Formats: sequence, structure tokens, C-alpha cells
Amino acid sequence: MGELSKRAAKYYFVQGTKQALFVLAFLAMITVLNCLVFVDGSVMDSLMDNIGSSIRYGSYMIVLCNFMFSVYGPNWYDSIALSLGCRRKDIFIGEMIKQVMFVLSDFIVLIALATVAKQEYIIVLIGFVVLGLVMGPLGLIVGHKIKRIGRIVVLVTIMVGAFFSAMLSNIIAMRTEAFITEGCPVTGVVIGFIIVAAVLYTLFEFWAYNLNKKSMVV
Amino acid sequence: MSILSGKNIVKSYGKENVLKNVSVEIETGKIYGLIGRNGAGKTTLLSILTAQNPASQGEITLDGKPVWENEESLSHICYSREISPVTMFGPNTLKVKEYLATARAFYINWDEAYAKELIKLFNIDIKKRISKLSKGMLSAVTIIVALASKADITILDEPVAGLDVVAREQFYKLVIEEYSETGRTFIISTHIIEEAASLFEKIIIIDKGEIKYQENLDELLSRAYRVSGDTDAVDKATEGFKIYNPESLGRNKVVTVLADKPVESFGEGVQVEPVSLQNLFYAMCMGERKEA
Repeated sequence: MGELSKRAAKYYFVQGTKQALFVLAFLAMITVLNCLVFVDGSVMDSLMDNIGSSIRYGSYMIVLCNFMFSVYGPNWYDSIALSLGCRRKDIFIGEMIKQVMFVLSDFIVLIALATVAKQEYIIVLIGFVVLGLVMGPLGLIVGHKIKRIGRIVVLVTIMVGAFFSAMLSNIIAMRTEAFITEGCPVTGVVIGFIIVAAVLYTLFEFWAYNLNKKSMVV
Repeated sequence: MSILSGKNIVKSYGKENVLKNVSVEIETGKIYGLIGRNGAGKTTLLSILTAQNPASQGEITLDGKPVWENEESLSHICYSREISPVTMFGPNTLKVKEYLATARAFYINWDEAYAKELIKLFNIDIKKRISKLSKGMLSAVTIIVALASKADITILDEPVAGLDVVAREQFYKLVIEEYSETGRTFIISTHIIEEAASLFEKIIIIDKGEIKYQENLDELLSRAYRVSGDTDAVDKATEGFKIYNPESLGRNKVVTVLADKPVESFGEGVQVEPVSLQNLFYAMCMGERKEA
């Protein structure tokens, strides 16, 4: 790995961490607000109750924010990196690093919270992580494609993407919870979901790679 | 000496050819001026030479090695271009310090101490967001990135746009100092030709996607003349030469001549003066009239 590649990887790693911290800080703020507004009994009890909601919101945000941050990439952050001498190949790998860093950082914190609050969201969280990873390259594709279309289309696309992400996330959460509570075997569903997600991820990354190859500074 | 070379570069956007079979050679260790009218293709050419924009056709190499996606080649080049205060998603909320940190992350030879010196010199508040900077401050930031990158080949695209006269003079002084100390190659694209001309060793003139001239500035100016006098006398004296921007005032006439080689004498009856780069370029833009 050359020096420039290492620098690009480090840059995107830091970007992914910053984005994860931003989302976690936002989640912490919502949790605290919920605790203070909807206090029922002691603050500690309220906090423990609200952690469950926070984990759910955090799961949605993994999916939504990874999509949105990726849409920004080709037109903003990646364009800056390209203008400062970064190679397109390193930008592509960097985006993967950034997205994985973002998703996994949030996942680790949420898993820790789920463990502390004794919430049974592990499988659901894994589902969100997988979906969140798939939304990353999809966001890149959208970002490349809408470069020339304009701001209104960007906003509409992001809103549609956000709605789609939230809807899909909810379906997965409800379906998985239903499986868990009804005692149905989830293994087949989970494996099938992961396989489909892996195929989609690969296809989307391949498409994003081809779009990235000819990108220019915006 | 290294050579950044672009051969037979064509760049098309749809049916429009922005660059038409352009070939250019940049020798390291010199200061180049790149001048041309708005829309001539300067920025497109520079972005293709630095692999920030793919060419439709053509080959760009540095010491024979391709520049495109080549880490070794790219590590020698800095193309500091205008920063946009607006992105597709709204105002550019990146702070100056974040932008400079990104530049530091990518430029291997980045000189942080020099960057801090330049920030102080140009009086830039690095905590300010890019969207809040004036045009002059944006130019100052691009200059800081270009100079602090310490890249062997440093390209500045209209670096003095929006700068006041004091800042412009500071910039020219900085380029000369940096060039004297390090021998870095600078390619400066500018519309303020008169001020910057004293920096240039070599000049590239581009017009409508084609390179018109690419040579040593002193040699170019040594064969450029402003010939004035009585109309008949001027016509006779400049017969057979390439003439630009003829202007008549009563019985008198003034023309700009660009000869193939230095001319010893245009004969009697006419006044001959040297031409500045700006006036030569202006005359070229006004149009050529070839005498039979």
C-alpha cells in the first residue's frame, strides 16, 4: 500500500469515526430529552426504559445516515479529496472504510447499550447493520447520478431514500421481533437476508466503482 | 529536469469540443503563465493534466509515466483550484481549518509551519466556514494550499481573483521567493496579465480549445511590435507580417505585429515600440489580419 493510499485510508477512517460520533451524540441528546420529558418514576428507570427506544432510533439512523452521507460523497467530500490529489481507487476504498467504520462504530455502541439495558435486540441490530452497509454504495450511486440534476431532485431523492430506509428498517425489525417472540426459527430468514444483502452490496459496489472511475472534481 | 506532457488531448462534453487536439509540455523548474479568454479551456486543460478530469482522448505523462491514477506522479503535483462557497446541498459549511487539514492529509510534503505563516500573512480566520469567506479570502486559501503543499509542480488557477493589490503583490513575492529557494515549477493561470507577466519564464496562450503559443516569454515579446505612423507607411512597413488589431485614427494607423523572428528595422516613417504581454494578448484576441 503506497503512501498516498495510506493517507487516503486514514482520512476516510477519521471521517467515518466523526460521522459515527455525530450520530451517537444526536442519539444521546434525544435519549436525555426523552428521559427528561417523559419521566415516569425515577430518572434512572426512565433512562433504562428510553434506552430501548434509543437503540431502535439508532438502528434506523445507521441505515438512513449511511445512505445520506454516501450521497454527499461524490459531490462534496470525495470531490475535495480528488481535488487534493487523491486517486479514484483510493476514494472508492476510502468510502468503503468510512461506511464500515460508521456502521460498525454505531453497532458496537448500540450492542453495548442493548447488553447494559438487557434489551433483546441483537438480531434486529445485525439486520440493521447489514441493511446499513447495503445503503452505503446505493447512496454513492445516487450521489454520482444526481450530480447534474440539481438540488430539488437531491432533496427529493434523500427524502425518498430516508422514507424507504425507515420503512424497510421497520419491516425488518417487526418481522424479526415477531419471529423471536413467536419462537419461529429465524436462522433461514436471517441467512437468506444476509445472502441477498451480500449480493446487493456486491452489485452496488461494482456499479459505484464504475461510476467512480470517471468522476471529476465538482 | 522532468516533463509533464500532454499529447493530443481532446475533451468533449457531448458534441462540444472544449479542447481540440492540444499538446503541451511543461518543463520543471520554470514558472509558466497560462492565459486565455474566458471559456478558452484553461481550467479544463489544467484539470486534465492533473488527472482531476478524464480526457476524452490523449495521453498525459510525467517523466513518461501516466499521471492518471498513478500515485507516484500525483504525489508531485498540486492543482489548487477555486473553492466553491456553495455545494449542491447548500452552503459549503466546511471550516477553513478542516479544509487545510484535508490538504495536509493528502499532500506528502505539506509544510504546516509555512501554512501557519501564510494564514497569518493573509489574515485568514481558520475557524470561519468557507461559505462565509469573501472571494479574496477564498483565493488566499487556495494560495495557502498551493504554496504549503510544497509540490514539485504547483498549479494555480486564477489565484489572485478577488485579492486586493497588497495581497496580490504579496502573492507574487511569495511565488518568487519559493521559486528561488526550491526551484518548484509553477503554472499560473491568470487574467491579470500585466502584473503577473514579470513572473513568467514561459507562456502558454490558449484560445477556443487550441494552444496558440507555447514558448519562452522573452522570445515571444522580442518579436512583437507596436508599429504606428502614417497609414500608407505602416501598411508598407508591415507588409508580409502577421498583424493584429489594426486601429486607424484619421491618417494615422497603429498595428500590433508578431513576426516569426526579431525584426531589425521596419523602415523609415514609422514608430516602433515593444509590446507588453497584455497588449499583445489583447491584440491577438481582437483578431488577426494577414497582409497579402
